[in-house]
Amino acid sequence: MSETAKSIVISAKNLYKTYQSSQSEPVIALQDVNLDVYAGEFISLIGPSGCGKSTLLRLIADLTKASSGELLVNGKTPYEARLRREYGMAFQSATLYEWRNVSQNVQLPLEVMGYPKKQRIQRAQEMLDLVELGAFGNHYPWQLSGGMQQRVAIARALAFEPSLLLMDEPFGALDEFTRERMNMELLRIWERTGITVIFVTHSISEAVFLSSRVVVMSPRPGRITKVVENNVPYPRVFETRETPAFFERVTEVRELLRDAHEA
Amino acid sequence: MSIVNAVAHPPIDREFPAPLRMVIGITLAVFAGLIALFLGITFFRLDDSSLLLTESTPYKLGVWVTEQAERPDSRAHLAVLARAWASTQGQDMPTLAQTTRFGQSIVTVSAMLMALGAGVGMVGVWLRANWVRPLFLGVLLGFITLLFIVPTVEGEMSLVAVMLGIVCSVGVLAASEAGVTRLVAFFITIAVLLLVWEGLKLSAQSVNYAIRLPQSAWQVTAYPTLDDALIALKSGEVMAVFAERNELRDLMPAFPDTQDGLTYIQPTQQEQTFIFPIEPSLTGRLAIALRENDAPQMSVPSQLVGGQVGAVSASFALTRYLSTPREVVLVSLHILNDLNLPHLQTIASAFLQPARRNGEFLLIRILGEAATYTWSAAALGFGFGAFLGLVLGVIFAHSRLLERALLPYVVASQTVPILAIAPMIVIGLGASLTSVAVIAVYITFFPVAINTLRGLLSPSPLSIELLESYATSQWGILWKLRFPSAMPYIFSALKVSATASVVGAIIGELPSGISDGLGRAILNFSSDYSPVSTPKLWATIIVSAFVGVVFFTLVSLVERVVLRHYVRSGERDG
Amino acid sequence: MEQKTSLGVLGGRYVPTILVAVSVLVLWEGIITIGNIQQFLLPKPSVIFGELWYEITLFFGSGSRSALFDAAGATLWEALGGIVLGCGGGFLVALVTARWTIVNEAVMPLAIAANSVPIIAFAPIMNNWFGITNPFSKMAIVAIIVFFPMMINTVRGLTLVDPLQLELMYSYGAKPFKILFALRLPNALPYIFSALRVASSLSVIGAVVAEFFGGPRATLGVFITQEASGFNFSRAWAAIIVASVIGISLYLLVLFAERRLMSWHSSLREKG
Repeated sequence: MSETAKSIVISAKNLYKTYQSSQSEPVIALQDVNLDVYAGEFISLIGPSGCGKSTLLRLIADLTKASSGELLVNGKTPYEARLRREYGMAFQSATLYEWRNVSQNVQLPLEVMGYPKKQRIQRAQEMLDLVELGAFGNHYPWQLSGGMQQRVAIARALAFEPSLLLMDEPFGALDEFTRERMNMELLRIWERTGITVIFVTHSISEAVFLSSRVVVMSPRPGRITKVVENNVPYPRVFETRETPAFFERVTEVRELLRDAHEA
Repeated sequence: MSIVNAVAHPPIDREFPAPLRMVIGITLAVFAGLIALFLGITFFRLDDSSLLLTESTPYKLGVWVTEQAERPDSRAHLAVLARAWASTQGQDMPTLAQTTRFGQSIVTVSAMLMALGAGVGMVGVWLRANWVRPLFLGVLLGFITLLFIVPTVEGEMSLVAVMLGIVCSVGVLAASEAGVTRLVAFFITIAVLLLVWEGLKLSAQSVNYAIRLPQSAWQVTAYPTLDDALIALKSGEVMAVFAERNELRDLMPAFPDTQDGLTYIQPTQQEQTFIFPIEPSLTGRLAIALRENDAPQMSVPSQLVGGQVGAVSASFALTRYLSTPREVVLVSLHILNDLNLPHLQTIASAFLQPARRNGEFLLIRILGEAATYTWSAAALGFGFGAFLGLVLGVIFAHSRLLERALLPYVVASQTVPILAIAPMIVIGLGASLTSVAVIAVYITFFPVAINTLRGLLSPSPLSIELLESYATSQWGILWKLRFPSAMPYIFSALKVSATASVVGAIIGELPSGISDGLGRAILNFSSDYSPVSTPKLWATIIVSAFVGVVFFTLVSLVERVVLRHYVRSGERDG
Repeated sequence: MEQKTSLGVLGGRYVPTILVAVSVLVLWEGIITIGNIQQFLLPKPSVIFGELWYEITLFFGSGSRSALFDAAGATLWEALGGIVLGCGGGFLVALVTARWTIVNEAVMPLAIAANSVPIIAFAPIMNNWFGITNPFSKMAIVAIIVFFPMMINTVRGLTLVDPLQLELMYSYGAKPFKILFALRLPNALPYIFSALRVASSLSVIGAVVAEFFGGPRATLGVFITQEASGFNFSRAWAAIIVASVIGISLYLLVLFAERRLMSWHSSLREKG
């Protein structure tokens, strides 16, 4: 797989984001970010609080605007990409609508985008099958566990077949075992659909387990410290966490983070 | 390094380009200043022959003060002050000219100050200064006060000028670069509401607007005498006869018994379809004669339209009722006439005039005393009821047995419509302040009890277990954990009860046994529908509203102080 | 077998309450009879129910009209009309207020202040405007009373939305109208029902108390005043009971509607 054969999905050049605050100093959330993401990659953004990882994700999602620099998603501005519904999002809390059942929740983006009813229902069922919750379409969110709700959120994010999936610490609220299982699930879905994933996390082992490249960031001002190439082979299984290669990568990321913190 | 980066990036977009705002601001400031100047000069040059002066609030107040000051034993505060001032001038009492001139000069000086302020503000807008906002807030308040001082006089444009001044000041504040703060937005909204009030009246003067739907007309046969008409009624020629009530009564004295198979009815209710009144309405002067058998089915005139009716030629019934076209009135701006919606100045003037003709005290003083009475009853009852509710809540929280037994009654007590029986309670307990307070006790204790209970039981079992692990007593848990957790709940109940207590107090004052209080004042001033009473009625209602709002605000302020360290559950972090 | 046990459980829960209610009534009757207390203001329950029963027979009898039930009907009409106008108006104004932040910040404090005004004091003004005998003057008072809670609650419900859910909608490129219908309105339902509950309990009392200031003859407030001034206190109390029953029924109606429409809400779910 040569890099020139793959297309660039996200291209960030000299990206800056500053916040005007009521106090004297404006806050620099992102400073001179340069990053290229290729189609089909699984990228993790990791770093301590204030490093700008969530900000970068939100810039890509067009939930906030860059102060300066260039950011292209699929060759378009984030605004255009959003209006063309080219990405799906999942947050730390599942944010399902409690007044809709599971199937209706997955259908939500399809409704907004004007899909006809029959197609919506069918698509929702497909997605629920994909996340292995096919029998729960008529259940309500409160009847589901945290992990199951997150799976529904992922199903919802994928419902309209975006080429890009943006995830902001989606498994942060789950316990460790569920988290590891969800990581496996996510990898399985990624392999089946071949979409590009940008994944923000606090957990070093999660980042190394999931992604092909790990973007390590540091705060004050938020910037990219280093992009770590992850040579741990795919497909990755439970045992992968116990291999030396895994351990090496985790150590590398950990030391990068520690240096950034002490800087 | 970081500052350099920040400056290198353009600031957030503004909706309005800055230079345009400044131009608007300066223009409006100039206009406001000119208007204030105009008003000041106009007022300065007025003399006693012009209505604009003599009808204005300070002039009329001055007249009254002079009259009162002539009596050495007058208890009016202003009269006492006036006499004191007069004695410094070597007089026994102030002259009419002195008191009225005083008011006039205050208005003039204020207007001049406002003009000056506007002028200075204009410079401030150009300099983008911070003090423009409080300055123009002052100018706005000045104009609003003038709204309550300048009377509406035929042909005089002063009131319109004041309204324009308000518009300009609002414009300057809204166009200000610094943006609109909460305080400014609040006053702007008040100003807009006042403008709408007077604006509606202004438009109603020029447009006499009514939407009426014509109804089918009467089919009338005229008879030379009443006897002829009644004979025709008996023989079935006509369905009914419209005539003077007195005449019918003389002919059929044993009403409602019948005479010769005839009877008469006198509908007293305003006719209407749905909620819309039908005009003309049957006045009390007229009655309708019917055949005895028909009487039960016909109770309103509308049931007679379409059939043949009779009346005496050239009678009042024929010329003024049956001949006037019947219409359903959908919309009529009579709501905006001076009786129904008095000018703001009329109401303000009513405040500063004696409550009774030649009375010794101003309405504002009378209403102040009434308000104190009502508020004392409400506050007394509120305090007592809140205490009772707290105690009950604490008891229920600690004894499930008592809660099970008594809680249904506490809930059921709320189904009793206390306001409906309030007058009867007051009569029953003897008309006094305490009986009125009892109503407020009842209104307050239930929501406070329920919310206290809910709040006391709200802490999670974990937090309770934590304190128990420190061997804290039940009493300690109550003080350290349950009460603080219950505070938000208790205060939300207190706020609702505060308002309800005032309502309860006012209703409790309605029975004739009570001679003080705002309820009684409202009844007094609503008993006649005249240009004298209606502004006083409005004044009383405004004072009642004020009492309600102030009480609620007091409780809210206490809440803010007590709860200032709390994180409100609705707020999200990050 | 199951039917029996559930009835038994139901009975068991409510029997103590019913028992105590009955004993209170009996006590009340007893004290007044034995103590020979003046039936001036608090007549015996038996007499009150007697009057109520009399009016009921009048109502259901052919050819006769019950003055009490006519009055109750008129007051109910005023209350319902007031609820429709006030809650409808409150809802519409809330839609506008929640849409623009500037309007929200300016109007909400005033609405909260206006909510603490004793609206009933405006009853004489409404009588002046629309006529004492016009039911609309009472309807207007009820409408104003319920307008503010409805507006305030609806604005809160429309604006206190989980920001993440808003961002999700935004990420779908949803238009403001779609966000309103799919997100804000369902989110606001609990708040709206809370206001409707308040409205239903305030409306009947508001109408009755407004009628204290003057109204058409066949209304409960005027009925109560007239019977009380004629010293027929048992009839006045009968009317009060009818007013109470109407108020409770309206409240129960709202509860029923809430249960049907908001079965998903946490407050209506069984624990666990």
